Formats: sequence, C-alpha cells, structure tokens
Amino acid sequence: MFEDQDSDCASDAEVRSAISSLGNERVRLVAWARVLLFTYRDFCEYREAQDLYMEAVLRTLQRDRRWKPQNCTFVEHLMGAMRSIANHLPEKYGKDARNIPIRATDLVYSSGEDDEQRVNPLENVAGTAPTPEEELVAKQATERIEFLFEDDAEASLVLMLFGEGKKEPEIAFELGLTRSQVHAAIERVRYKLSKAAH
Amino acid sequence: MSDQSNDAAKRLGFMLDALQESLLETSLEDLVKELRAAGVDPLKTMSLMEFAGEKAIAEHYQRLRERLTAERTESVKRIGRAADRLPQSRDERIDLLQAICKKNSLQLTAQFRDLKDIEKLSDDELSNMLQQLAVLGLLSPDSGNGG
Repeated sequence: MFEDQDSDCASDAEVRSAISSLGNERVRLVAWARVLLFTYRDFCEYREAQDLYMEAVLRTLQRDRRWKPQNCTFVEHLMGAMRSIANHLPEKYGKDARNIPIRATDLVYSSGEDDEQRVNPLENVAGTAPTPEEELVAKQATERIEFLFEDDAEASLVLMLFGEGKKEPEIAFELGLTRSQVHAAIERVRYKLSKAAH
Repeated sequence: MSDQSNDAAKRLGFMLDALQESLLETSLEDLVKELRAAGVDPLKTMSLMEFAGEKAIAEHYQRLRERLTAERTESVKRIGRAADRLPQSRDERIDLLQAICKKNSLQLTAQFRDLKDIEKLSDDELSNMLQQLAVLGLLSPDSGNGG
C-alpha cells in the first residue's frame, strides 16, 4: 500500500504520534505562520495560521513533504514545510505562466513574437536557481519587511546583515553590539512581522 | 542573468533562516506574550490548530479510502472483463485451469497449488479462478515464468 522506498522517512504512525505530541509547541508554529503570512502575503493562498499548518500536516502524511526524524525535529520539519508551501508559486498558479499576477508577467516571457515562441520559465527551472517570478516575490517580500523597520535603525541594520548571510557573532562585531542586542533586534523584527500579519 | 537577479531570493532566504532560528530559541512563554501583544488569543488559536491537525489527518485517510475504493472497483472491473477471454465449455475451462496450475505452480498461492478436485468446482468458482488468473497474465497455459 505505502511502497515507501525511503526508509529514513517517518512512518504514518510516527507522524500521527508526532502530531498528537505537539502540545504547546503549536504556539511556535502559529508564530512562524504569522511571519510567513506577512512575508508572502500577496502570493500565499492561505490567510490563517491554522490553514498553513493544516496543509503542512496533510502533505507530510501524504509524503509530499517527507519528515526524517534523524535530521530534524517534527516542529522544525513543519516550519520548513510551511515555509515551502507559503512560497510555492507553481502550486498556486499552475504551470501556465499567464496565470501569474500581472506584475510578474512582465518578467515571464522571454523573446518571441507570438505565443508559440514564448518560453514559459515555470517549465525551464534549471537546478535551484530562482525563477523570475520567485525573484519578484522575494523582492517584494524583502521590501515589505524592510519598510516595517524604517524607524528602527538597529533592527534595520541587523536585518540587512542577516540578509547577507552573516551570523549573529559577525553582526555583533560589525555593528559594535553585544550578541544579546543582536538577538533582541531580530526578536523585534519577528514580533513586528507577527503583529503586522493581520 | 546577473548576480543581482538572484540577490532578492537569497536575501529573503537568509532573513527567514534567522527569523526561524530566533523563533526556535524563544521560550513558549515569551511567544505566548508576543502573540497576545499582537492581538492573538493564544488559547483560541491553539484550539484552532488542534482542530486543523485533526482535520488534516481525517482528510488524509478520506483520500486514502477513496483511492483504495477506486482501485478495488477497477480491479473488480478488470476481473469481470476477463470473462470474455474464457473458453466457452466447462470441460475446456477445467483443462485450462489444470494446465495453468501445472505450468505455474511456483507462482501460485496455496489455494491454487493444492487444488486437487478441480472437477468438483462449481461453474462460478471455476470462472472466478480463471478470471483472476487472466488478470495476473497467466491465462494462457503457455505463459509462465519462462522456465
């Protein structure tokens, strides 16, 4: 029935057990969902934290998002699944690039005079490079986040440096802050995103 | 495409990584306070989350039941369609079943391997067995495991 060839993947029973055992950790998932809902607001089809969570759980049970317990906790897995689901354009818009909202369609087609010659970038994803529409989503999301912290210079700088791939100790050193201050700044970012989710 | 075109997705990815890590390090107590300050009722939200989890499980098993029912229905139809391929007379059917059992004894379950009184099978039983063997691709006495 479930011919799962991935022996590291959690079984149905393990997933169900993990769901039942979440308990108060659901609070963490709510907080994460709110960050994602704000970030991907214009492109995410889900509007409530519990809907995004439900989809992540369903896809885990269906093995569409596989949980490997030796790699991460169930909470970490669900956070990753929720992030992927919130961000996944092709699942929302299908394979036809003309379904993508108008602002993204400016970037969709490559050269070609008519429909037959046009290239649909959704069908030409090479490796892990983001597609033009993913870039547009990311650009809008990043700008929306950064705009929230225009009046908080410290949080703004911390966010910018995290965005460059730097880690907490590096950021603390570069900005002349303590690690606690950097930590507090990112918490302010997270709090403000969550508050702005609705 | 220039490097700048990949910047936005990377930057956002790093930001979300940092936010996720921060969230994992924060105590549940502090998270509850944050949610309350954001106007979220934690108790109500937790109930909604619990319900959503149960709904996901129910949805998963509903889809599974539907899929298995559809597969079962299709399987029954395939077995039914195989009736057209059976010989007309009872004697021919008995001969056929005997030949298949002899030729494919290693592939058949005990139900078929130990079948001694084929002559005593009712018409329906005989038909049913041959139809199932047809679906398995063993209807012709010449088919087998190539041995």
